[in-house]
Amino acid sequence: MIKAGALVFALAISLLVAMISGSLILLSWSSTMYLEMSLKTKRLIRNTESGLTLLLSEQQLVPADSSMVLDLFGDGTDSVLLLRHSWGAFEIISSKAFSHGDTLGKTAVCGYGLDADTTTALITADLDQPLSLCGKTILKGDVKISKVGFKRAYVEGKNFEGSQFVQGNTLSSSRYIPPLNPELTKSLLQGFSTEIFNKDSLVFTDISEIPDSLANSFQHKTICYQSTGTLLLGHQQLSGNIRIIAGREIIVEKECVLKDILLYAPRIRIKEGFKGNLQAFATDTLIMEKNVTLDYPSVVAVIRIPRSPDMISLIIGEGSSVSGAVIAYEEKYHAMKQVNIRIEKKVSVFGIVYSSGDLDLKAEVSGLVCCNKFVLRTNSGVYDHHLLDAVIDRSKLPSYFLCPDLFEDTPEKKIMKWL
Amino acid sequence: MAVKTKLKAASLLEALIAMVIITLSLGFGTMILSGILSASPLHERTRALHHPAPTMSTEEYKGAPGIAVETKNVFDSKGTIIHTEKRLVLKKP
Repeated sequence: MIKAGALVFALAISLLVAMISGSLILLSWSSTMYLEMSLKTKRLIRNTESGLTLLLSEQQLVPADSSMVLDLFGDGTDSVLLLRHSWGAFEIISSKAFSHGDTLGKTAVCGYGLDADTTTALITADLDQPLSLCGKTILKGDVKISKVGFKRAYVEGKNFEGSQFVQGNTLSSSRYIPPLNPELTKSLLQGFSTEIFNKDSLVFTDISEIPDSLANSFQHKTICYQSTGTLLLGHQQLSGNIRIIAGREIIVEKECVLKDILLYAPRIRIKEGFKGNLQAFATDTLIMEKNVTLDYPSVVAVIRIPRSPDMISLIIGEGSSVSGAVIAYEEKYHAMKQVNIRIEKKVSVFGIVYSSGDLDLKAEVSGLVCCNKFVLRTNSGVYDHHLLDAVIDRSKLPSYFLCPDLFEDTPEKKIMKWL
Repeated sequence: MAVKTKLKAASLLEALIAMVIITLSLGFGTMILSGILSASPLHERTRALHHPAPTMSTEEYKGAPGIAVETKNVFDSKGTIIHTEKRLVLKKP
């Protein structure tokens, strides 16, 4: 005779077996789902990276300052949203892959290497005038100067102290220095116009003030603060996708914290002791006071536009440093209308200095200098095509340094910074 | 365990037999399901992806000079392509 308790025992075993069976089915289902999800994620990552690879190439599919959805391989399963837009002197690229509601994207700032020419330290126009060197001037790298060559000079009680003029090759330059890339100049000039900001979120600071703290992602629309007068950036902390335009002047105080932002104004003054990362473009005067530090990748530039005054200047004060590019640009050189850069003593520039006009260099540039001619201003006078206690050292610029697309023959676009 | 019941021994036996049948059915069902899953293309794909034998091929990408499409196939034990990965790469000079 079987006892009644056996039924309960049998029920318990059935339940156990049912649970084990259910667990196996659940495990099988979850592993299937995991596999599908991981394959999908891998596909999104591959497509995002493929999109970036495409944007970094010399492709014609996505024009500058535009975006488009592209089916990468024509299978209908690899769609990416590709975007290119200029960001000051640089370009931002973005690749966003999507599939069935899932998206994955990457955004980066691009720069250009100087791989084509890794040795040139100095290029000046051939104005049939020798380059006069005084004091402890050091030129390290190849130089392209007038056929007339170098000359020792005596200025401010200092004769040239070096044993050789240049630690590198001396080559003859042409009548004009290499022009800036037209695409870059077009992009820089457009920055001052308000017409291109149709796609941006525009805030008039005459009505609404710039907030104390603002971080805007590059995945969002650009926030553009525009003022008709003078803008004072005193205690603000601004970072990311922000563009500030003033009709008269922008003053950046020491306490201000700026990262990645763009400044456009006729006059820009960066006060003593400021430290940050920005791109500043002026059409009249740009002054960096003493001990200003602009971290890589920063750009300071003066650009001549039709309403600029005859003399436009970029001044870098004593003890300052710039990592990136220093640019003074005018389309055509005029003897009476000049652009000039003045780099004071104890300044350190790491990158490129480009001037369509004059350059007064009294400090050290680790990288490439390209200017029409040098003008040395001292207490005793102004000297044409002279260098006093200046250092230009190309060897200190690493091969992986990336700069704006300054020249037309710059080779390869590369990722400068992830955003 | 003391269970008081008024069930008759015959019906109890029937219930027990039914339970045993259910248990065996579930057990066999699980085994069969497991067998089906292990033989399924998905399982095969999982196994192949964990032990890939990829082949590479590159071809020009239209509209972008200097870019190539890199294709990587994964085959199952029968030599059938069960998974394809495509990506764009910069062509090596």
